Amino acid sequence: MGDPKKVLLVDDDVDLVAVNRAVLENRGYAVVSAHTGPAGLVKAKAETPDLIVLDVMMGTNSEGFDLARALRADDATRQIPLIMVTSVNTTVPFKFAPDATYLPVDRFLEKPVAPEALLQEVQGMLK
Amino acid sequence: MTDRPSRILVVDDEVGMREGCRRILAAEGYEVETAEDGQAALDRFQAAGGFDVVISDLKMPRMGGMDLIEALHGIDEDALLLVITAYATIDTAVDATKRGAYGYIPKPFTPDELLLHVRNGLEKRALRIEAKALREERERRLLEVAFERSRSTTILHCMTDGVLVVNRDGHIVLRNAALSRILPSCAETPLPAPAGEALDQPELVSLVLEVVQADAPVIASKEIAIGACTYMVNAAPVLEPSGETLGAVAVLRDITALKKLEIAKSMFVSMVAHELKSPLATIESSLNLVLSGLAGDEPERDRQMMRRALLRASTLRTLVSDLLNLTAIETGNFSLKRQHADLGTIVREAVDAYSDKAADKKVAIHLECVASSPIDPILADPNAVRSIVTNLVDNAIKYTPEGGRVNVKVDGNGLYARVVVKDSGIGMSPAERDHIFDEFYRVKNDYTAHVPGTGLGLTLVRRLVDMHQGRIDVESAPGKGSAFSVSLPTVSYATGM
Repeated sequence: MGDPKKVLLVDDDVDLVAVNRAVLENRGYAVVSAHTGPAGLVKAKAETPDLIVLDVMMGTNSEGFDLARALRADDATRQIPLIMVTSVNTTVPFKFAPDATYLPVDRFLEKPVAPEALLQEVQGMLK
Repeated sequence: MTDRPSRILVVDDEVGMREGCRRILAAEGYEVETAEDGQAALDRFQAAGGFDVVISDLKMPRMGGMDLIEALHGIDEDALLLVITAYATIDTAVDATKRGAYGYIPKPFTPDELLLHVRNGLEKRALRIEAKALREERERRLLEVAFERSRSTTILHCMTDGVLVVNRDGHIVLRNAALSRILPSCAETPLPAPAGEALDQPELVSLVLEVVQADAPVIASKEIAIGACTYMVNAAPVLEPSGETLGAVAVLRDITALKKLEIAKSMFVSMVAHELKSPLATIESSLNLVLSGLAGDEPERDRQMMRRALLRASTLRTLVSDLLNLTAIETGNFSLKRQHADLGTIVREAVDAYSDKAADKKVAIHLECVASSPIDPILADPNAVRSIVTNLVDNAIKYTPEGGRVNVKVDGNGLYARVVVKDSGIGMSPAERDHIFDEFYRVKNDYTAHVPGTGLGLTLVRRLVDMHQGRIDVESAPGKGSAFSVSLPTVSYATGM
């Protein structure tokens, strides 16, 4: 079966990370986590995960975007698929579109993401 | 014209003439006075405040009739003079009328002749007075109109709203000072000028033209951005009494501040929505995980997850009640019930209430009262002060790692009573400290990620302290802990006694 696939969860909500970690670990994934954008970048370089699940709003409204752009700008992390999760809805005055230049992510999910749905997304991407 | 009898002055150096005239005129109901020469007549005229008609002989000692005419007209240009002369010639008559006499009677004359001339004179006098009154009235009205117009213009130019008037052809015919400030590019254009050429604001132009060109009177309104400002523009037709449209008047009101408020409000609502949605999403995911069994069967882990979900739910409840309190303060629906209160007692109760929580977290908590004598009572709402103190104590415990220490001190200086909550916790940077009283602000780092909080607690504390005319100070450095001190006015200071 080989080495388990590794998923990096970046979210400032520790409880949500705990839930997603439990689901993914139960399905045989290795899970690492970070709670801030900068810590996420350090973890991504050190652990070279197979997939990153990223929250948009952490310390600032754009911390998730900043991290996504930093990951795409770095040779070591550029190829890692990104799933972005957010609780921000349409009332926030900036737009999300899967725009290759502004929002370099592979999937975009809105909170709350049911554990089952997240699992399906992760499985689909790591096939 | 008036009920007052007409007043006549008879001037003649012959007493017989004077008295004869007086009798004739007095018999007709006139009020008559006499003078024996020009100088006496002049004095009399001035002393009596004028006569309706002066009848005068031409040849008299001291001052003759000709000079009298001139002198009288110097006093009253409307004075009426009738000349009597025994040596009537066409020349003297013409001369006298040239100088301003209205007529002459040659001697000798009959009473009827005299009365006829006097009546003519009085009629002339009445007409002159009426004409003069009309002239004065007209001048007064003109002055009023001019004043009215300049007042309207002044008012128009003093208005803070921009005012623009276009005629039926869409030409600008009037702009006030505010409009010139709003649209400086149009300020110098000589009027009238076509709106489309004078204004570089197509939206404004089409709005006023829409009103001018409408078949039936319409009022058009639109928000128009000009430069960095937003204006509410209302355009209405200028109508003739017949109902025909003469043009349009547009008023530009600066609503920039309102728009900013609107944006701030919707930002706030979306922040609140985010703050509510995130923890709810986590609680939902936790419940989902345990119920679905997706993460396998690990009862102890599930129980831990449920404990965290419960904690998050109670934090949400605190968030909602903080929000309600803040809203009540903002809308003025929150009133302090200020009374004499003992800060020491409130602080002791708060510390007692949190001793279990501190013990669970292995944080030592100490209460210290510095004053040797009891601290002066404060004038405060005990519930609000309790809320202030428990928020500070709760924060101190939350942001102090295991093995740390929280020290709570109460002291006073007669003017203020003060509580200082000092911890050995994680502290914060000056940049973070600048924001801790902002709504929903939370210091974000690997430690605080594990601490549940609403980001509203200190906002509420700050508002409550402000409402008491107290002050709050913060000293903090990363890794060195934080000290929050709150000073509240004592009864004696607050009441000036």
